[in-house]
Amino acid sequence: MAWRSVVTFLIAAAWADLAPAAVPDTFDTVIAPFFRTYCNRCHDGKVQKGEFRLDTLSRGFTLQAEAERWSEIRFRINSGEMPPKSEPQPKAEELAKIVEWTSTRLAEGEAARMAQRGPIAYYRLSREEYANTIQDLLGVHYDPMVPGALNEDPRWHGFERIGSKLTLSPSHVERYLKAAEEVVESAFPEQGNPFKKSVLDPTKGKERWLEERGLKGPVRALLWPNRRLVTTIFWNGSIEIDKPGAYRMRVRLSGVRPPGGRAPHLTLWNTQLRVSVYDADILAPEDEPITLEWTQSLSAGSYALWNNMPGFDEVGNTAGTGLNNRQNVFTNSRDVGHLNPVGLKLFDDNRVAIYPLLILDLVEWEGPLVSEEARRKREEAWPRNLAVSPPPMVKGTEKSKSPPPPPPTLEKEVARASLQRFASRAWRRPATDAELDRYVKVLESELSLGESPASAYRSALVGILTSKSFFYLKEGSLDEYRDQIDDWELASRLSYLLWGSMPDDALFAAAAEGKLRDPQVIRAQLARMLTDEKIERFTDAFPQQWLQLHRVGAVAPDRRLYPDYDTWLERSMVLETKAYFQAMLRENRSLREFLISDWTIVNERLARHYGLPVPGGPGFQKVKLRPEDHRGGLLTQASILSLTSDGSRHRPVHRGVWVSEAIIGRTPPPPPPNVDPLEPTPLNEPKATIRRQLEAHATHAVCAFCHRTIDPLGFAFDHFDAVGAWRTEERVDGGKGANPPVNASGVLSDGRAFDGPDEFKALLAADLDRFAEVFVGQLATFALRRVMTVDDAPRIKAIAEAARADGYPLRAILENFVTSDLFLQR
Amino acid sequence: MNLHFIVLVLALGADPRTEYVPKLGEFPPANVGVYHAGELVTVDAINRRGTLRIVGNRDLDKYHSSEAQPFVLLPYAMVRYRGAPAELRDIPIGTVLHAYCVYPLNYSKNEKRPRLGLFVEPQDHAISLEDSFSFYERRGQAWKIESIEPGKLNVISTGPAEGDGPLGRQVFDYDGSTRVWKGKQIGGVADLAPGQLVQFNFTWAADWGMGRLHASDVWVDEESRSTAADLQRQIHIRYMRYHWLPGWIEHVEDQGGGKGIVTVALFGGSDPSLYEQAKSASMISIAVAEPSLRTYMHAYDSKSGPLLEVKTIPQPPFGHSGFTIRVSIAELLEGYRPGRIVRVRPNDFPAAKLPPEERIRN
Repeated sequence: MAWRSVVTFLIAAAWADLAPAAVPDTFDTVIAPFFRTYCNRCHDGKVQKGEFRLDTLSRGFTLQAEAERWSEIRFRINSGEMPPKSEPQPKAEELAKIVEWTSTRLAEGEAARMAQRGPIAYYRLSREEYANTIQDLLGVHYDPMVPGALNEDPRWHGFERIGSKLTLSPSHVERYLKAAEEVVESAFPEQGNPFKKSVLDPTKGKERWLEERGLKGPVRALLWPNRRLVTTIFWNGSIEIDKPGAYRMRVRLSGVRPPGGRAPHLTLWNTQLRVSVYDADILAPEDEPITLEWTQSLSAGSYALWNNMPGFDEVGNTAGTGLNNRQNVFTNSRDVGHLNPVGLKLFDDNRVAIYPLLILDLVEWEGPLVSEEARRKREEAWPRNLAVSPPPMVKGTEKSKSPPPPPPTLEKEVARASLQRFASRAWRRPATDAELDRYVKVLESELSLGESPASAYRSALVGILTSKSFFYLKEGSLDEYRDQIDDWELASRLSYLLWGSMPDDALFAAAAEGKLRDPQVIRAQLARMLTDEKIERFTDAFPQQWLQLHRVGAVAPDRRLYPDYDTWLERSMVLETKAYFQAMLRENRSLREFLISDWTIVNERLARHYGLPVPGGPGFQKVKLRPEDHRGGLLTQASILSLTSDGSRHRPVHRGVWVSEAIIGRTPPPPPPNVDPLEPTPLNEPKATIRRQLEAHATHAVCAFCHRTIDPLGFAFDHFDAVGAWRTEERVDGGKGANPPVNASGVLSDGRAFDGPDEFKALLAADLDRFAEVFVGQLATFALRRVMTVDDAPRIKAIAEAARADGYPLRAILENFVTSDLFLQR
Repeated sequence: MNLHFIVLVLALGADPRTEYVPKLGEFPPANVGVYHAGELVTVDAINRRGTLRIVGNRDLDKYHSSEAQPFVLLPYAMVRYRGAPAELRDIPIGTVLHAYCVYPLNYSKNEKRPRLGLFVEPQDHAISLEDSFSFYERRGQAWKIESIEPGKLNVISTGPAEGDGPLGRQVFDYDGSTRVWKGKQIGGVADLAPGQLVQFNFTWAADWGMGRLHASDVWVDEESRSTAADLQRQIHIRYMRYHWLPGWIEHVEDQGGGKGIVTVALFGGSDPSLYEQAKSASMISIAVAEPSLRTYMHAYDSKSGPLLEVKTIPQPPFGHSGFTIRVSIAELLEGYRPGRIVRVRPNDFPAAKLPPEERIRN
């Protein structure tokens, strides 16, 4: 909020009618006259009503106490409580101006408080970054989202990595300890290699059943829409993962669909976390199954294969299910005589699928797998000659005959060297001897208590992972106050920006050479890092946080209103936005194309949702847009249009606020308290759009004033419903007559008029300089893990301006940013 | 049965009337089946099957050692009792019945079947089953009492002189157990008189091996016959309203998204008033059934939709009611496939749950 206010402060024309004069509003021009006219009679030194004086009020907003006092004033005025009704009443414009001025100053004050930095600044890793770091450090998959794992990180306007928000509590410490123990046990398992291979074969156990009925088989598991293979009458189909890690999955299946219908959609669903971990549309003829094979990280738990789309309820009778214990087994669409006759018909009389169907033959999974790179990293962290696991038990009488094997020895210097290597990587800087002594002591103490050398060494590793040097990024030093970050800190800043994780060996090496600050070197590193597959963490996390994509699906759309909505559509919406960002970066496109473009990236599911031609191939594909598609840019993507809706209807005000924050860089003042919600249209009155209701609703003077500025930004998208589908009329429940037509026209606060989203986007794109600064500000907030302040504004502007001549290509922005003073300074 | 079949069996020297093999979805040609007449000795009314003790033919070997003739009612089989449509459950054990039977569905001579009993015919799937009252009346035949002796009725058949079953001059046993139906009342043997035109139902007689029959019931006048038929008709109407009208799927027109139009040929043999109710219904439910006509939880497992069309077949084949209906269904069921048996409910039939033993459960 705050830094955006700063940007607006600098570009005073943003809200022209709020800042119409050449001279900016000040305390003396706005507040002091207002107080004199309406407040001081009761709140001066003489009367001090409510023991509240305004004549001595501090003009500062940076201190918490000052901010709280100003916040109280804003609240009283905003709610209409002050001035009292018996006193002369200010005009709406005056009220709006004072609320606006106070809100802006409060935001600046908050930003300054949040960005305060002492000699050392500590930025705790978000739980996503923690997991990424563990992955890159030891090749261990650690899922911080599992219940009981790491605490959820508080967000600030979508950002999950703001240092002043990511505090540390005893609960965090406890969970870090538990997490470290799990990670070390996964990397160096005490019980030997946990690798396991499992198979689910629906034919298994059904051979006799088939023979009795004269059927050839094989038995195939039929998944109709919304059917999950968790446990079924005939086949226990859940995939159990005991140990988290990388798994190779292999699924042989067919996917058939009705003519003109959707492709069946395979989801691998974590039934505990209730999240999808793999998604694919499947198209393969019934008699020509395909084999999918992929490797992915899986958390421990149960997984179900799911034909993920709206369909029948789980309990619904369908031809493949058993009825009253009668066993019905699907083999093929020719042999339907033994299927449940009172279930829904799944194939027509010509063997054509009636619904999108998945037909599973075989599911195999094996893991956890350890990559060569992970093996090497683990070997570096483990003393040579020290067995990770004890040798297999010697059974029976042999045990008494043979003497027990001698306990493995652990050479102290070898252990220390291993710990040194491990700690330096984990802490992202060379670990000092003094620091290491503590962990060597842990090792010795464990050994003296009779622990095995392997167990004692594990304890030391756990200690390193629970050190604050691991889960905090530290910038600055106690010995000297410095403005600049050092090379190690810079390496981390760069890698956590681009990879959400620790630097790799090459980046460490550049830091060790002390040349990382050299613009040539940092550019080379940036270019190298952009080509690494880990860059996907940036193209995933940054748009997620900047655009607040976590809000997509936060309020599940009403199934009655949007029967076609499903989790795959929801996921596809977010994937589109992320893929769009990825393409922007990969193709080094202009920032303008975040606002307006003639292309997007969709899969079949989204293409159908948007009414676009269905792309030929599977997965997400770049498609050309026509004007009549009314898409292009971020603002008309279903993700954005959904996250600003409430599940049953679109919310023009929310949309306006979102555009204002994410694109224009301006957080509007908060609404007055106790605002009545919109009521449904009475049955005996004509149907009215939400826009009409809002216009009638804004009777409060302050409401009306602010809404005049916010609402047009949202009304521009009234052609899109709550799930982002195009419409020309607005569905209104209740009321008389036909659904009213959509009115998506409006006038911006600077007087520029538009009609519909396309014209609105064109207006935004016409002011690209402003958007470029907003974008750089968002990037800096993400990278520097702090809120931007007034002091940062000139440097943000400079970064953006440097790319102006080239038309603001995204990579140039990124390059300017990582070589800028802003990035290199604390 | 098509012409090729008849030509083929004639060429092979076999009798096409007895060699017919039924198929689901195909109504039988006229006048097929092997004639079995015998006393009903066992019944599985729910599965529409039972056994007949075949009436003796003076073959003493058969008399001593023959096994009862099993029968299974085909889905479209016509069952009549006391001159009206009936279910097997309406017919008392001991009643002499007249059946025309063909081979089992999709029968092949190469097919392995369980060993047939001695003197048991392989044609054991009935296309019709009637008591004597219905059998003779349907053919325009009756009996005229010529004279009465103690324990014996001397009768002569009237109407066509040709056909299966005893005809011409016959002697039937009677005694105090013989129910004599007169007007709307039960009479007695004193009400029997020479010259009366009557219908009989028969049961086992002591010397059945010699072809003798015992009159279990005699309807001595037209009023008694119509009273009995009316009552049985009402019994069957009530049964059908709860169990719904049987038929089979002729065609399914898939319309996408699980929707479709289902064409059902309604089986004959029920009271015409039931077909009238079906024809005038606005909505029809269709429950999947098995060839035994048993349904699942028909009131819940059926799907319903608007009746789009009723087609009338001017000269329907045997087993066909003459009415074919087209129903629009929003969610087609697996059992809606050509040839599959269904029961349909016009919307003013009740949708009550049947007792568990009647439903297919396992």
